[in-house]
Amino acid sequence: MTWLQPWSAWFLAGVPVIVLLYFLRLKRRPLTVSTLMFWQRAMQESGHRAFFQKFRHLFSLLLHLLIFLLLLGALARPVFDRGILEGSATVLILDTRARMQAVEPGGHTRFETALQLAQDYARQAGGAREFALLTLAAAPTVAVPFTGDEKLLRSALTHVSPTDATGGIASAITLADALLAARKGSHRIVLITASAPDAPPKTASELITHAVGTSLDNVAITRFATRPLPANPETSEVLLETQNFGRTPVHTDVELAFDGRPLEVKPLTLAPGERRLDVFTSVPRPALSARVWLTAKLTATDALPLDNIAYATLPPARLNRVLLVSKGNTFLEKLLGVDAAVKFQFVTPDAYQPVMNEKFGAVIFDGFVPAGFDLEKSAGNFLFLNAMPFGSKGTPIDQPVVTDVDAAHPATRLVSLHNVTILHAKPIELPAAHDGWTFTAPLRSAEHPLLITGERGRQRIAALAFDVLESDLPLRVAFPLLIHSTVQWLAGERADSSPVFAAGDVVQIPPGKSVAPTPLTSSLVRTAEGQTSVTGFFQPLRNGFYQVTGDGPVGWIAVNTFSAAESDLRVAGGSNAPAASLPFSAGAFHRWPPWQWLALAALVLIVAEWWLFHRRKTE
Amino acid sequence: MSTRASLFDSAFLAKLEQLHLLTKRIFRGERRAERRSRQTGASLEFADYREYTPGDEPRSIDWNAYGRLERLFVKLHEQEQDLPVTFLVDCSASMRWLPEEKPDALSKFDHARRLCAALAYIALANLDRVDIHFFAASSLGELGVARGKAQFHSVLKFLDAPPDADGPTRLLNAVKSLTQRARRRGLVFVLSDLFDPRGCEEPLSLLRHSQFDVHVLQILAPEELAPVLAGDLNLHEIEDGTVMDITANDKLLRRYREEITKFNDALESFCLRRGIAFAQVMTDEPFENVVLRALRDGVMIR
Repeated sequence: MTWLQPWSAWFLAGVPVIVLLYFLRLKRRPLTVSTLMFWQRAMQESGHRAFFQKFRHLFSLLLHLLIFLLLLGALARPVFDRGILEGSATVLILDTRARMQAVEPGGHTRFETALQLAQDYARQAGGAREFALLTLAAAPTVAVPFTGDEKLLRSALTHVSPTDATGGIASAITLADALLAARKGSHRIVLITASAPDAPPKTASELITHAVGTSLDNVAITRFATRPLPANPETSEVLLETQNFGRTPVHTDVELAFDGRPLEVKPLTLAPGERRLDVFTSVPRPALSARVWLTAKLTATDALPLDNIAYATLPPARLNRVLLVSKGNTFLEKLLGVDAAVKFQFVTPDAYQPVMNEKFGAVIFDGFVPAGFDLEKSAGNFLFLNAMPFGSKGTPIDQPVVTDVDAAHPATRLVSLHNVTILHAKPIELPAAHDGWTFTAPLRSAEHPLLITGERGRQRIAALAFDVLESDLPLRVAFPLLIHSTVQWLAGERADSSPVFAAGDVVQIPPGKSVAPTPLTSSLVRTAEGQTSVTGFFQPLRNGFYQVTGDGPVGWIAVNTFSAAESDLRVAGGSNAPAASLPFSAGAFHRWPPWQWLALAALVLIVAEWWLFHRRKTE
Repeated sequence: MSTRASLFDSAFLAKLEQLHLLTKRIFRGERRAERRSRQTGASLEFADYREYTPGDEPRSIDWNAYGRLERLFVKLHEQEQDLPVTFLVDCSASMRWLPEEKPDALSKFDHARRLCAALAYIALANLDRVDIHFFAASSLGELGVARGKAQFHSVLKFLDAPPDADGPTRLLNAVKSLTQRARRRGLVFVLSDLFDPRGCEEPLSLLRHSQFDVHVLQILAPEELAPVLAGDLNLHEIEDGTVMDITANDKLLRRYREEITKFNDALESFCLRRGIAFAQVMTDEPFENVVLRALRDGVMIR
């Protein structure tokens, strides 16, 4: 026998109080009568009962004490050891995925209904009926291991909150079955979710499913991404995917905002089941010091508000590190010095080491080709000015005239090079593609390339066939544009989308950085200071912006749900059945726990005492 | 103690007058001061037979009847004379007892005094001689002989100023005192609850033995016949302060009712055997009804 609540023994101190109160209660009510003759005769007739009458007080007291002790016994929650060893084990799976935040017609969310149901089950916990609690978000998590402590379970349930994550339900059922496999007695899995799974995995345990959701219409943002525009480094483009998971058309506006400031509002009309893609171009890229929040919000009201807003980060303007290897070039040094997007370093050819290439986005060789330079083996992006790594044939070209400028090429875009006077140009030929390299000549003088650009994967190279000091190019507006565009192109910025994580993804935080575990969603809150930072791996479960701090500027991680499975609420739930009454064990040897028997015995004795008291059998 | 204004008010006196007229109509043929008496030997006109009791004149025994029935009977002869009417009014503590739930009601003693006043009024109106004795443990006071309606005022005055007595009921002492002092035999009304632990048979027998016509009016409260009690009680007897613990339940109350009924039945049977008129009076019964019943059943006037 095990007492689950031994603290109730303190109530035994109430026994003397009961005895004291009982003796105080024995004082009789005085009453004056005209004569005692007939009372004495009546009592004499029942003289044979006197013996019992003497013990009637003691009997009443013992009866009251017995009732008190039975109630104390019930309060102490006794459990048979056999019941503990062979009692039932139940795993309660509580779905906390994003779909559980859907608001039902009654005004309650599915999660609130599920939580109430889980609380009802938790009330059945006891020594012979243990529960474990699993929460299901991106992956199942054991919130409470097997216990018969109802308080612990209910307390844990009060701390469970819905997440914005998505995940599979089968893994939770499989985990629950594995947990139950090591237990004796009968096994059950109680699954509380939005809708019953179509094909739950086979389990050795009985599976009881409570589907608390009903069929609901919903419109959602299912994709929201940004990427820089290589053709226009100051802007980026934004992709927005919306989907109508309802049975009626939806008219809504989508509001695009940068750090809380509206950027654009666009009306949308979505037919039932329609998936729509919208692209917003010319979204300015923020400065490096700016907060890069970009949010998209649908103004329509539906059952699941969380997927009506999406978060993304805009790619900030980059600061490219450039190495200038030159014996001295005033124009170039001044130009690189005033370019806000460039941070350059100057070295002479004698001080240059090939290992420096790794630290810079681009290396400019001014009239110089490093000894032993091998295009196939060299890592890095290079700009050769008046020096050819490809070799040249023939005699220099005197006073070449710029005839062709490829306006589509990032290096020569928006650059006007007509009427530039060039004294000499090297007679170079466009190399053929080889070893993954492809070459183009965006600047030509008839058949002679004046600028050759090559690309192999992420590696880029450019070579200018003339000495800028032997031209009037440095005196023209085109010169800084040409060098800036070429350096930006060389620095390797790609049209990659900014990273967007789904709630529940595991994010690896770079060394030296840490992330605040609570997301920010309001532009009014500027920083996540005060939160305990997380390093290493981090699993965000709520949508929003997570602040990344550490070495370098503050960064942000955008987290969204972006799951059609979570947003599609049309799948109706199963039933709204109340919590089932679970048996204690597989056997039928005691359907009730001992405390209920004790309480019942106390109740019977109370009724009997009441009956006896009103018939003056007891005091 | 009730005052005259409340106990013998004008309404009460008006009822007495109506009662007197009513008795005259019921007992038609009555002659003033020529009441027919049951005293034996006082007249030659035969009236009735009665069972012999010790103290009867042996000369009045009807030996012929004895020869036929082998039982002693005495002949009763009518005698026309004024009748001495004596009232023995119990003023013990038990007569003054009031139920706990009716502290402002009239006590048994109040009812006894009202009955006494009514019967005395009728007697005085018939030119009979009236005397009243209060008694408890012993005889406590006597009105003295009154005759004629003019004396009714002194009767009321006497009844309205009873002695303070909280002692027990001892009827025998009062009867002994009466028999020793009475010069003429007549009618005796005993107004009491008869809760005498020593019994009432002996004093009533003594009255009969002393040639009195005895009328017993037992006055009881309904709460005494059928008490409504519950729970654990500490009973205090009002007369001698004796205490007793009881737990009132249905069975005990039923046994109590059986006991008091047995007591009353025994008393009534005794009176019947001894030629004593007996009437039980409840305090919730209108006193004029009681008077008429007492006159009719007790044959006060013939």
